[in-house]
Amino acid sequence: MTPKSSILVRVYACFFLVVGFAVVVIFYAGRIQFTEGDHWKALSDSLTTDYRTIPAIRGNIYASDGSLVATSMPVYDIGIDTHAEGISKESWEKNKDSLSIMLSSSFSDKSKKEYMRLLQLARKSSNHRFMLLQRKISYEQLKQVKRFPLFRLGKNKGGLVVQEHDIRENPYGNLAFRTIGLHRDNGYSVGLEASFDSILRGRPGKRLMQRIAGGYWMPISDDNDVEPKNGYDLFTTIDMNMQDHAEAALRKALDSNRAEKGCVILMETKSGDIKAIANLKRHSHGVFSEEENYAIKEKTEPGSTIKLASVLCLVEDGLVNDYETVGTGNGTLTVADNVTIKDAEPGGHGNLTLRQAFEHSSNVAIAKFVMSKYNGRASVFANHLINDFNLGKKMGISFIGEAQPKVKHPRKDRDWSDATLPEMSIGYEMEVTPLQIAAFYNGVANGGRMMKPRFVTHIEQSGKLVKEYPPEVLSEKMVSQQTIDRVLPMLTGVVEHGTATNLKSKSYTIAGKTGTARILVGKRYVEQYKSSFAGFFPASNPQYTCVVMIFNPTAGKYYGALVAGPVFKEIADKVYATCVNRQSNSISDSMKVVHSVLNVYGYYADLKLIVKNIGIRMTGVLQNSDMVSISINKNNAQAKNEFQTDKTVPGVCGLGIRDAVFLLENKGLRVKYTGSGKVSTQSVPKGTNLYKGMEIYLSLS
Amino acid sequence: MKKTDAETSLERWNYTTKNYAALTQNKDISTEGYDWTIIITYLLMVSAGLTCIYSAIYTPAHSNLFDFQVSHGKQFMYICIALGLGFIIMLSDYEIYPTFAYILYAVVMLLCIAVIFVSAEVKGAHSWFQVGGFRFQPSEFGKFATALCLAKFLSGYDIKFKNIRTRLIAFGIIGLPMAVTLLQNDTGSAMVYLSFILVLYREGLPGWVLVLGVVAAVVAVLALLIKPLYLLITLSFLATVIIIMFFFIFRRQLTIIYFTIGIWLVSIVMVYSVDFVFNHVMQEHQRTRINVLLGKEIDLKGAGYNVHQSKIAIGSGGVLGKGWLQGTQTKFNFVPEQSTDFIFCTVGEEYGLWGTFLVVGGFVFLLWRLVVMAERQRNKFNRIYAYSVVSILFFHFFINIGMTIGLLPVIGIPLPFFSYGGSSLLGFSILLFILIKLDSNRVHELAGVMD
Repeated sequence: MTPKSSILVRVYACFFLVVGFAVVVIFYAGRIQFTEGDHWKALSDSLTTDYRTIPAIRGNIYASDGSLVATSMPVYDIGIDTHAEGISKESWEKNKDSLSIMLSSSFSDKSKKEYMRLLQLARKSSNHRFMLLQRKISYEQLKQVKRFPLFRLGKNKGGLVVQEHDIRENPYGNLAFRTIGLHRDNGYSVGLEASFDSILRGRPGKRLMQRIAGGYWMPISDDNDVEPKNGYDLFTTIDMNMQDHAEAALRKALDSNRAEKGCVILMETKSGDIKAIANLKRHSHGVFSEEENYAIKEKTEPGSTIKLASVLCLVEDGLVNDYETVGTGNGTLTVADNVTIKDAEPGGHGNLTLRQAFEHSSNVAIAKFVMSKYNGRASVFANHLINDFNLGKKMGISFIGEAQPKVKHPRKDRDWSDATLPEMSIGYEMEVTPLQIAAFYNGVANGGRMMKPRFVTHIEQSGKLVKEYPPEVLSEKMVSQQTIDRVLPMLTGVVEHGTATNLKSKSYTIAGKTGTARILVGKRYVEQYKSSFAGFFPASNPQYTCVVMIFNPTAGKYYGALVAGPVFKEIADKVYATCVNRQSNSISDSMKVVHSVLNVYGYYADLKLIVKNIGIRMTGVLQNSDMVSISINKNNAQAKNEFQTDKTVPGVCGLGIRDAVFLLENKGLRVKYTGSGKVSTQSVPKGTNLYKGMEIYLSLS
Repeated sequence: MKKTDAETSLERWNYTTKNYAALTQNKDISTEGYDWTIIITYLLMVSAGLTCIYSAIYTPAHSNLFDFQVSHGKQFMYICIALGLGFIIMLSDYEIYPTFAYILYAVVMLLCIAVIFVSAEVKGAHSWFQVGGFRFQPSEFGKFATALCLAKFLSGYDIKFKNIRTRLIAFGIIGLPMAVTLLQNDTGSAMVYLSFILVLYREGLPGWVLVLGVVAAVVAVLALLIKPLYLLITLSFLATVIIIMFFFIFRRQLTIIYFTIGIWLVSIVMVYSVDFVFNHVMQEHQRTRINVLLGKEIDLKGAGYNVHQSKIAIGSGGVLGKGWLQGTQTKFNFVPEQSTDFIFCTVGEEYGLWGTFLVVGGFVFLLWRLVVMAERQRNKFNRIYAYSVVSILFFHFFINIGMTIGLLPVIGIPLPFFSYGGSSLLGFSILLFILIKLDSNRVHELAGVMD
C-alpha cells in the first residue's frame, strides 16, 4: 500500500463514518415518524388537545315572594407568574416595589416588605414560579388589581394569573340556612341545594380545545361542542318575612329558657306550603347556629300533642259522647307491670269528659278513654294513626333526609305490649318528626284534607316555567267534617280555658295543643323535657299551621304552654297582623293606587328597548349608563341617570335589592337591609361622599 | 525558466482556470479563493437554525424577530456578530493563525481553568463567565484553539507522527482542554475533544488504535447490559475461536493472534473498570440516563423525559411536518432545552422527515465539502486544522442528533449553527471562518510562486 492510497483509505473511512451515521439518522427518524408515528402522534394529541369542561351556571333559589336566597357569584383567585416570559428585567425591577405596596395596602394581609420578599423569592426560585396572591376576590377588586403596577402592562407582560370560579352566596345569610341548604363541591350538600341538586346544577358543556403557544386553550372546531346547560331556578315556598319572624321568636325563646335547641315549622293550611322552617341550636354565650334540620330529621316521642290523634279516633269512631267521663283518681294509672302513667299535676282532676281531658291534657283520662274504648281492637286505633293520619310512614316530601317515623301496630310489631296502647294515646312509644305533627295538625285545620308539606312550587329557566310542583294530598279525608266540628272547640278550648290560656288573643282565636314530653336518653327517661306547641290560626278560618318544639329548656319552665307556646303566639301574632290581613285586602289596595307618573328603574339598554316597543318617546338620551331611572308620563319617558356617581353614594330607592346591592357594593359600601320588595329608604342619603368600609342600611317595602 | 516553473506549478497544483485568471490579473485577490459553497451552506444553516429557534420559543407576545429580550432576537444578534467576526477574519493576515496558535491556546486554557473558580453554577457545570448581562463559555473557544495548536505542533519541522514522543505531545494538547472541561463538570463538551482522534488517524495514527477504541466502546456498552462474568466467558470463547482459526487455518498469523490476545486482555480490564466506574464513580443522574438509554429503565419524568418528548415531537411530524410555528410539542415547552440542545426535534416536528433529511443532508454535504477542502491543502498546518474542523463538527452533529432521536445518551452539546447560544455559535463560526481564510491562502501560495 502506498502512503497516498493509505491516506485515501483513511479519508474514505472517516467520511464513510459520516455518511453511515447520516443514513442511520434518516432511517431512525423515519422509523419514529412512520412505524411508530401513530403512537407518538397519539401521545402528542393527548398532551395538546383535550375536552375542556365549560361549567354551567348553577340555578338560583328564590323565596316565595321572589327574593333571591341563594345564587352563584363569580369570584377570582389571583396570582402572579413571576417567570412569565413577558416580564422583562427592567419592568420587574421598576415595578416590584410599587406592586408590593399596592398589594399590601389593598389586601392588608401582609406588610409590603413581606409581599416584596415573597415576590423576590418566587422570581428567583426556579420551581415555584406561580405565586398565589389572593383568593376569592370580587370582580370589583379584580378590576382594581388589573390596574396595579406591572399587572397593567397586560396579560403577557404583567404576569397576572386569574382564575375564575363561582361561589354560592346566600343574600339572606343564615336565614333558613339549613333548609335552603349548602352546596359543596365535595358532595356533602344539604337542604334544598342537595334535594334539588340535579335541577340546580345544570349540565356542563364540553369543547375540544387545543393548547397553543403561551399555554392558552383554543377551540379547535365548533362541531364537537356540547353547550353548557345552565341550572334551573328553584322557587321555594319559604317566605323570608315569616322565616325572619319564626327565627327571631325561636331565638328569643331558646335564649330566655336556656334551651338546647328548637325548631319551628310554619305551614300554609290550604296548600301545605312550608312558609318558614327554623332550626336553631344554642351555644353558650348566646350564639346560635343552624346545624341540623331538626324539623325534618329529628324523630322523637311527640308527647301530648298527639292526644289530638287519640281524640280524633275516639270521636271519629263514635265511641265517646260529650258527657261521658272517666275518673282520674289520684292522677296515676298503672297500665302494665312497672308502667305507670301520671298526670302532670299530682292529685288528679276528678272526673273528666273527653273535652276536659284534652283541654287539661290529662294523661290518665286520655289513656283510660283509649284503653277502654279500644280494648281488644288496638289495631283500629293504630290503623287510624298510620293510615289516616300518615304518622307511621314517611310522607315522601321532596326534601332529602326525612326521618323514618315509627308507629307501632299490634299485629305487626312484636314488642307490642299491654302498655303500648295507653302510651301511644298520649304520645309515647312512637317516634314522629315535627314536620309530621305539623302536617297532621294542618290536616285538621284544612277540614280533614291532609296536605303533603311542599317546599318548592316550581322551577324556571330564565323566567320561563319549566315545571310546576302542585300541592299534593296525603289523605283526602283523614277524618269527617263532623269529627272536626266536634274536636275544633277542644283545640280552641286549650287556649281559651285549658293548658295554654297564656296564649289567648283578642283579635283572633288560636286552636292548638301543648305538649311536654320527657326526653328518652338511651332507654331511660331523664329529667329533660321537650316542650311543644302545635296549632293553627285563626281558628275560624284556619290559614296557617305552626309547630314549635323546644328541646331541654333549663331555665325552670318546661311546660309546652310556657316555653313553646309563646313562640307560637309571637309568630301567629305577626303573621296574622301582616299576612293574613293583607291577603284579604291586597287586591283592593292595589286597585286604589292609580299612578299618574310611573317610575321605573333598571338597565338603560333594556328599558330603552321596552319603551320603544310600547311606543313611548324617550327623552334624555344618556351615554355610558348602566342603571337609570325613567319617569313615564303617559307618552313621554324621561331617562335620568341617578346612579352614576363616582365618589358619592348613589340613590337606590326604587330598586330591587339585587340591583341595589350590586350598585352599592360596586362602590365599596357594605350593605345591610331589612324587609322585602323594593328599597324604600336608605340610611346614607344620595350624594354623600364615600369612604372605605362605609355601611348602609336599606329598608325594603 | 521562471515561466516554465510557473506553468509546471500550475499543472501540478491543478488550479481552476477561474483562479488562474484572477491570479494572472493580480487584482483584488483578497476576495478570491474563498469557498463560497461553504459560506453559503453556513449562511443557510444559521438561518434555518434561527427559524427553528423562533418557532421553538414562539410566543405571540414576542413575535418580533428583533425582540432582543428573547432567544431568537439574541440569536439574530449573535449571527450578526458572527458574520462581523467572519468578515474580520477574512481581512486578517492568514499568518497570524499559525504564529499565535500556541499563545491563543495558552490564553484559552487559562480562561478555561479560571472559569472553574470564578463562575456561577449553571445546570451543574462551572463553565460560564458572566460579564454584565452576557455569559460566555470559554470551552466553546477551546475547540478552535486546540485545533490551531495541534495543527501548529504537527506541522512543525522535524515532526514525524510515527515518533512516540510526538504522539504523546499531541495527545497532551488534546488531553489538557479535555481534562479542564471535565473539571468544569461539563462532560459533554469534554467528550468533543475525543473527535481529535480522527484527525490523528488521518495523520497516521495506527488503525488498531481506532479498532481498539471501537471495541472498547462496544465492550463498555455490553458491560453495562450483561453481567460481567457472562460477558467474560463470551469474550474468552470468541478470542479462543479467533486464535484457533488464525493459528491453524491461516497458518500462524501471529500479529493477529497477539492483537486478539491484547484485545481480550483489555476487554477484561474494561469490563471490570466499566462496572466499577458505573457503580462507584458516576452520579445517580448519569446512571439513570445511561439506564434509560439502554432500555433497562423507563423514567419518563426524569432523564427519559427530554428524549421521550423529543421523540413525540419528531414522531408526530410525519412526512411533511406540521408546518412552521404549528408544532404543538414545541410550543408549550414540552421539550426542555428545545432551543438549545434539542433544536433538532423542532425540525422533525414542523418539517417532518423531509426537514430531517434536509438538515442531515446539509451536514453531510458540509462535511464532504470540508473533507475535500482539507485534502486540497498543500500546507500541513491547514490540512490538520481542516480535519480538526471536520472532526469537531461531525462529533457535535453525531452526538446531538443521536441524542435527540434517542440513539445515544443525553449528552448536552449543541447542534452546530442551529442551536441557540452565543458562545457556541461564535465558536463554530470562528472555527469555520479561520478554515475558509486558511483555505483561501492557497491562492496566496500560488501567487507567491508566480512572483
